[in-house]
Amino acid sequence: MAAKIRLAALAFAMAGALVTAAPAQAQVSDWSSVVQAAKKEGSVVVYSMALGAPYYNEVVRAFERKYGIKVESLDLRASELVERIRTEQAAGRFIGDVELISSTMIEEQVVADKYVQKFPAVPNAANLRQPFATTDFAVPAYIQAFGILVNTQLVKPEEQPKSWSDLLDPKWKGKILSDDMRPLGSGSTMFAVLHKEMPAGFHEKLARQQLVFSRDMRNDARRVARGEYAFYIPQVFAFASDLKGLPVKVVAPVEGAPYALLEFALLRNAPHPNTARLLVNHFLEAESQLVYANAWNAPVIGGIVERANADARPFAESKLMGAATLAERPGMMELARKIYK
Amino acid sequence: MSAVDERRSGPGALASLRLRYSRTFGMAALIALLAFLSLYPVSMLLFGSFHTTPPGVAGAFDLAGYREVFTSETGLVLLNTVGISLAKTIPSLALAALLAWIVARTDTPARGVLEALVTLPFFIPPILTAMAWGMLGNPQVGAVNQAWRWITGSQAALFNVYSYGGVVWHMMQYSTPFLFLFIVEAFRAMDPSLEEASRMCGASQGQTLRRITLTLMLPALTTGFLLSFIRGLENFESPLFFGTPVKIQVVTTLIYDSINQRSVPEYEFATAMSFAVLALMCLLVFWQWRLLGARSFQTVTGKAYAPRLIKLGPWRWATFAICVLFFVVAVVLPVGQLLAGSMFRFFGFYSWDMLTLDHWTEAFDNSDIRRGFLNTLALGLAGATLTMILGGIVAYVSVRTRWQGRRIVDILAWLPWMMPGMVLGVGFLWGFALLPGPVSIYGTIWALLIAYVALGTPLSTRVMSSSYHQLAYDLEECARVHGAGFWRTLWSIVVALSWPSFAVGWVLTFFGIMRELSASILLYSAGSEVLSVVLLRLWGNGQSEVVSVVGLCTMALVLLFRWAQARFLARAVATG
Amino acid sequence: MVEVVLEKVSRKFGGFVAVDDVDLAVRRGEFVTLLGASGCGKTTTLRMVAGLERATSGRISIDGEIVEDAERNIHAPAERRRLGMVFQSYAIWPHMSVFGNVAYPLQIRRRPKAEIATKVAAALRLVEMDRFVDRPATALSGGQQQRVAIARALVFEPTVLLLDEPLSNLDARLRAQTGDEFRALQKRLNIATLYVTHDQSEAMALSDRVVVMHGGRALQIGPPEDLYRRPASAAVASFFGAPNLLAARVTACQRDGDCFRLSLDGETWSGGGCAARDFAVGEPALAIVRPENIRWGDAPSGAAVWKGEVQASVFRGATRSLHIATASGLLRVEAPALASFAVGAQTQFWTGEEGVWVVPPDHASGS
Repeated sequence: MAAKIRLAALAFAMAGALVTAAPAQAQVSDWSSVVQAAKKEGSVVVYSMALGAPYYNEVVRAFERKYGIKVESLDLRASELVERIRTEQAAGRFIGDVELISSTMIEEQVVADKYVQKFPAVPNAANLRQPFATTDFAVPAYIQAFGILVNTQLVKPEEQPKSWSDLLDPKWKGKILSDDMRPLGSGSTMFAVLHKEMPAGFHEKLARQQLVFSRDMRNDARRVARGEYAFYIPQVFAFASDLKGLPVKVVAPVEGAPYALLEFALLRNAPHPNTARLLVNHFLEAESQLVYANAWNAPVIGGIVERANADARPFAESKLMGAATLAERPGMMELARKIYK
Repeated sequence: MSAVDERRSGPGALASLRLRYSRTFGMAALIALLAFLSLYPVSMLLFGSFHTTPPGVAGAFDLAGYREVFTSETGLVLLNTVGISLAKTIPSLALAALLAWIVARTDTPARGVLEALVTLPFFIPPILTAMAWGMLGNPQVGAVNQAWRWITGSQAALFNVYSYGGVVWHMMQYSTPFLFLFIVEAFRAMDPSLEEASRMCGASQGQTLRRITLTLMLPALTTGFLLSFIRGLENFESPLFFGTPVKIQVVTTLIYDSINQRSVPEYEFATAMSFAVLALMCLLVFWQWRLLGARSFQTVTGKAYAPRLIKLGPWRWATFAICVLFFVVAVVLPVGQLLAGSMFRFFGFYSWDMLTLDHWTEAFDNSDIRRGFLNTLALGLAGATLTMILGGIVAYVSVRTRWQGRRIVDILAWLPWMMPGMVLGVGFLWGFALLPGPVSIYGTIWALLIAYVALGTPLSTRVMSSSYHQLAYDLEECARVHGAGFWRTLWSIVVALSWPSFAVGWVLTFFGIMRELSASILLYSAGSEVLSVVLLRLWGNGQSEVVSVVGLCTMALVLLFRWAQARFLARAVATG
Repeated sequence: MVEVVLEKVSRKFGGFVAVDDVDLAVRRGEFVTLLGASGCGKTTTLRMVAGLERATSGRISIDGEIVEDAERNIHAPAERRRLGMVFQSYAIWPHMSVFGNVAYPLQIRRRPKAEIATKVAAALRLVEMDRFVDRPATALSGGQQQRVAIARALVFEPTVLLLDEPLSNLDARLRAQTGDEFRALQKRLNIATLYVTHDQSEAMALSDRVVVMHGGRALQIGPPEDLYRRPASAAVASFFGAPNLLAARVTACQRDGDCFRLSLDGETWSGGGCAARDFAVGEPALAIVRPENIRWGDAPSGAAVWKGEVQASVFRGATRSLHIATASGLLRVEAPALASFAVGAQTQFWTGEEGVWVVPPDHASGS
């Protein structure tokens, strides 16, 4: 069943890639005029849920240096970002140009048919690797993939899990800290993907391990490092890159890593649409993607993984298990509430 | 408002007519201002609670939000919330009253220092103390529990902070100093001969404390109780950190979920829930009005008191110990944890090779922090001053006059306090963005300033009115008889007699602004980042050590303010 | 029967001596007033008797029982001393009714309800406040609060009553009336009373004896008339009215019963006077001449005489106050209101031997 869905999803994605790739190539011809127009616009406003992550800032600074165009970044949590855009547009105040947010959020805005406009093609989209592709409204930016964080003092090397199902070992009962899987967030993404990709009954068994739910991913990872719990799931790889020196290890399970795709979308009536395009194209430059890869994110264009640092590489090239989709979300959230009461 | 007219008006019908008109006009202006600050954003939310979609989006009116509120499941969460808030407010109030009495009315050694110290926890961002207590009080490796195991040799944990007790305890750390600050001036301003009279009547110190002191403090105490109880219902960080892992659900986490964690943000339910809570709180406020309505305690007369302190003899060391103990538990433990944490590469990992000052240099070098700090400082100074002035006027009108409409003024000023911050933030967003007219507030720093004033006014009004409550009327009657107009009278009352309360309220408001996040994050724009937004960013990037540094610096700033305040007040008393 | 005895009582606040070696005994039924300017230590003395302040040295006993002994570290707390006290601010508890305020001392003593009711009623009747028994305390005028405060202080029938400037917050008319009423009540109850005031006329009108305090010391203790007519120093004299203080030299001194008759030589005058102590011939002295004892017109022989110009004449109703510029300085004269003096007129003033009281020129004679 799960395999079937995966196949279908893959097919769907590939079809999308084929459909959108063609017009993209067609429109990029006059790119230099876009650059000219962008320089005339002089600035761009990004609504970002990256909360000023260092790799994000690095890429933005590089853009500013390269083009002499100012980037203003408004950092908000995802739900606040969406509400802010909604309110501003309802009030006829068009301030933001482009948003950087998880793909399902954009899907939602597309469904509402209001807040984002079609994204004109950008040249670097041609370099996107499989299965990523632009859609009418969104351009992929990077991948946030999740694994298992292990406390190396509490868990002997030979006991360290290699698979998601290793977490079902009775001896880990009560020793797993987890992001809450019931509300929207990384926890629910993991829930959905594992539900689809793991054998049936996986979550029911995992629930019997008496997971402890919390909601503060950064602090929770450190709680595991301090030895309060043996494991933390889902551990965003990129968030673990700055835990170097602590007695923890991130495991990318053999089945693969659930992930969230972060994408760009052009906001309706964006005051600086050309700069927005230029910026998005810049994010898809090899150098930009390498910055992301070196921070343990997975890049969305090809030919980057090979150039990543040695310690970042396993995560940059980690096997991707799947992402949550908008359509299945309500059902998944209900199921999570049922299983993890 | 009416000051100019009143001052110039001589006797005569025309003058009295003008006076009446200018007063009516003044009240209308005040009501309009408050309505804009509080009623307007709240009515946006009210609309949202009856509408399937938020304002500005096509939708239909229905009662789905309220229908969902009136389910047994939500009812249980509500009961749970009330229980937790009661459980923290009652001991906090008792402790705060005890500490206030010790500091203000006894000869306990080093009272001045103790006063500054016991109020410190209020000024630490809750997210930091939550982190610190998570480390101190977790059952597996928490420092307190390890110390306990080491001392007793037992295997069990003394204390698990992830529990009802932990939630209550974390809330108490804020509500105790808050209540302390709120009531200590009332204790200090009380005429000591009221207590001495009781002792001359044969009552012991204990009887006097119970039957005179505490009863006289009733207005301040019940107001403090109410403020703190309501804040308890709206508290978010404590249940989020310590309740969620053990499946303790409260109203705020429920609202948070419904906005932030559902597949589609359920503003209709979130706002409906907020109004249900608001209704509950209104009942409480009416109860307090009824309780105090018949009483107008005036215990402060114009003359200055020689600070007559109760001599406790050897017991003063016991009271000293109580203050120190509170300080140790509520400040030294978590702040020590923060301080130690900030000196190591990773919070909570102590080894020599990880010892570093990088976080401190980073905090001071970080241009975002600097910009956020300067913005916040400017907003805080302006916001706290405006808020206190507005609060002073509102409290004056509602407590000290018999003007028509004063109750409306009071209710309007209360409103923002009764809405959970995260919902009210959305109300401001909707309100400012959808504000018609040529003057654009949205997206400017003024939006933040206005929101801060609105959010701060309930507290500033309460602080000032509990201070006014205790002033005898003849003081201002005297001022008015001597020809002072409304503004002059207000000014002389505020400055001359309620100055200490004004200063305390100012500090509370200032640091309230420094901490405010819910509204800030929805209203800030590029370039007007405030400190809390910058801190959220740092936190989101896992830089909790740098956040701790900023938190500790904030505390240093608090101490500086308190010191300046003490110095300034001492001088004001000496010269006045 | 002596109710309150203070023996060498002192109170220091750090280096500042607020009360310095005060000795005083208040007998049963006696009304003793501590009189002095603010900061003279009178209130501190009262508060030490009350037990609200500790003495740093000396001893206080009430009803024969030692309640304060600094040397032996005895300090009975205020509530054990069974004293009634009325505070300057009245200290009426705003959260109670009149009844509640007055009943409080009895409730603290756990008296039966019925007894409390009758005693409170009696106490309120005493101060004529029985009609206001159910009033909330905040609805009382200043005078009414004062009466309630007195009722509260008396209701448990203390043997000693302490009053700290109880009339200072009342207006002048009410002050005189209330003072008289209170004195009558005190006499009726025959209760020892220690009273603090800065108002000399109040002190004279009410007291059996007055203690004049200055700089923490009791300058003189005695009946009001004594203090007025036979002050021990210029400082005491200056508490009562505005006497003329004239420097002089003693030319003769002779004992006469319990006082001494003197001959004095002033700057431009000479005459007789009386003193409480012996003076050596040639010793410098200060002549105290009360303005109301000065006459004008022809002087009998032996009288002290001043000539001068009327500088000011103030009509005060009952009297007329004159300022006379003389060769010996400004002379204040209190004349009957009907006497007419033109400003600028040269007139001769005099006083006989009985109008001149002589004290040594102490350093305290500031005026």
